[in-house]
Amino acid sequence: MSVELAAVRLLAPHFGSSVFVWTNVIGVVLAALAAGIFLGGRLADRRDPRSLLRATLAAAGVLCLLAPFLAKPLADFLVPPEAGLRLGDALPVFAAGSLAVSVVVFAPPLFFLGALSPAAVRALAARGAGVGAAAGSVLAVSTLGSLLGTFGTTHLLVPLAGVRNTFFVSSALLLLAVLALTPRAKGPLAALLALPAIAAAASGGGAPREVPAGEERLWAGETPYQFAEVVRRGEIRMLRVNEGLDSFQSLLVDGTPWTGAYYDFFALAPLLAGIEERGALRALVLGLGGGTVSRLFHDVHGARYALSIDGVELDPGLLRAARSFFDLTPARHPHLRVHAGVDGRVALRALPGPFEVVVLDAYAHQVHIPPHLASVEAFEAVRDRLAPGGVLAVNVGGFGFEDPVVSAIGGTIAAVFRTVEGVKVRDSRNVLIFARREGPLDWERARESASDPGLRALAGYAACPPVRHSFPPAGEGERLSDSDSRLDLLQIRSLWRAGLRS
Amino acid sequence: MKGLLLALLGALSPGQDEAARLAQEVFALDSTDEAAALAVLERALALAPNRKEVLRAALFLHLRLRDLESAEAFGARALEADPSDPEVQVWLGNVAFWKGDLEGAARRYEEALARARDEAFARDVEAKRAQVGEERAYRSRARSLARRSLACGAGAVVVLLAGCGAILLSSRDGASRRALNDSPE
Repeated sequence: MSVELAAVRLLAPHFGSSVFVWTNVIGVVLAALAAGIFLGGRLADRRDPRSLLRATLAAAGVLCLLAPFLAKPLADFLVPPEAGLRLGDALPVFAAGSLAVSVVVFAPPLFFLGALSPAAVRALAARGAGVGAAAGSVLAVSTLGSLLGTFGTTHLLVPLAGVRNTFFVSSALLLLAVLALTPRAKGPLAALLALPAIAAAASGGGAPREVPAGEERLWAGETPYQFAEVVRRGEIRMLRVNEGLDSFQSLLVDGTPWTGAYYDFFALAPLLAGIEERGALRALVLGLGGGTVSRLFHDVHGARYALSIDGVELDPGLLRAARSFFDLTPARHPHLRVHAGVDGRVALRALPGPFEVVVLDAYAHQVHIPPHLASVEAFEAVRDRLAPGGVLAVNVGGFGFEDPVVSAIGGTIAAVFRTVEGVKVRDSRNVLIFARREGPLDWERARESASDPGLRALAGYAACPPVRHSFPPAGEGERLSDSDSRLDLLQIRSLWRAGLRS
Repeated sequence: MKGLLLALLGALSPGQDEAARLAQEVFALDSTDEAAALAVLERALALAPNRKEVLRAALFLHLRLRDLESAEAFGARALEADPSDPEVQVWLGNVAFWKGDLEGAARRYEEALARARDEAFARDVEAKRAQVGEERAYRSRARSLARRSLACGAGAVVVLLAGCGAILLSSRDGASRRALNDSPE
């Protein structure tokens, strides 16, 4: 389990951690284990089970040690950092590439780990245990080991030691097991086997992938949820997760609150909510990340409204990076309360509101909106937390209003709110969807009330009918719900369509 | 001929100068307040819907709003009014580029280059042609990466299936041999 979980994390900086990567890794792991168990059983009947046990443990240990060293060059061969591949074109590369790397890198150690069980059963049976008792003991120990591997890898090894070191630790443990099973005369030889793994673990992991030309990496690390890095390109600082490519999680541009990206459009939400000057602007940001939206609200609306922001971020690792590199500090964000490690749906239940503005900018696996945050039930929870006239603003990644993801989410929101309109963000694959609890979305009024020149230009753009689209409510069977969400499928379809276009 | 006729008719109708002035205003307003620019354009179109300047402004503004279908329609009409306008060719090239039609974009830019009025304009068009070349190179790179990954992925599936198949077959052979050996003579 430890290798399986760490395998997905090892691939994530190159191929992401989408449903393709997960299924490829799980599929390859199961196939390799099955083959290993099958062949291990045959061999255990013909060879000395103790020496077979030692050989399979040693082979699995050495192959686990090699996995991080093999995965990076192979992944770089399939997705070269200098190729400048865009996320919209990457789906076939990610789907097939992650399968190829899984087979080459992870199938061999898992094959030998699979061969362990029958050898262990045979060894126990040879010592006098009944076959049933031996098999039961081995299966129980193996399952408990998997349990330990699952919790230990997720909550201890990866966050504390990193993904590459998780492989080295696994390798060291396997090789130390060889040592324990080796007769005294051969002990020093087996100890020598374990040394490379311990040395590799002590040397740290090294960078998981290169940054493209023109970028400087300021920080990179494993968070409890993903690989994250902060890079600088000229005056722009970017927080990126997993495969990154041309996508980013948060932006900070030196000397201005504006980013030139979709985040800027969130600043229109208070104008659409029709809040009077000096009135209360209580905002809830689901998916705080590096605090780009909070910074924008502080700088653009801080003097105009009585501002308070509740910022919710599931991944505490991103918040730690944001404090160091995005100035996400109480001094810079005096009106922000951060809720770290909290899921958006949980926050909607726990935070009483009411809010004049709810911003939803939550993504999982880089491009996927978590289905439980894009369901009828989630939008009903948002509506219940909004003040009368309050506005929901949602960032949806998609290629225009006809995109399957955009139209499904727009239609689902429209099933809950009366007025729902999307604004196409220029030269990006983002659509901002705005919905108001009561009353119309008055773009002209928003434009007139914008005092900041940057805000006025944005409002002027959004007030143009050709860039907007009104979403009709989705029918009963079409809306996304907690129990029937087709969102993952729609997101895959959206990316396929984008790939086919180019 | 049709364009000439439309221009002649346009010149005789009232409000032509006002429409041309409004079209100029669209260019001045567009980056600061696109909603105001759109409102001005609508007034200009109401006054002189076939005037070259108005159609150029409409093409330009709709392109800026990435309303590509409308931009293309206005562009086609602007070219009818003045087929030799190199800027309209450039903007239509941009429309084609944003729609993903690289061949169409390259053709438009070449047309514009052939009618370039000065060096600065020609340099701008050359830069756009280079952009088309870069995009072509990117697409070819992306396709080759996709092919490479698909080939490796297919290879991986074959290896997996072959490995599992070989193991199963070898064990069946072994079992058959054992069965033969164990069978009573």
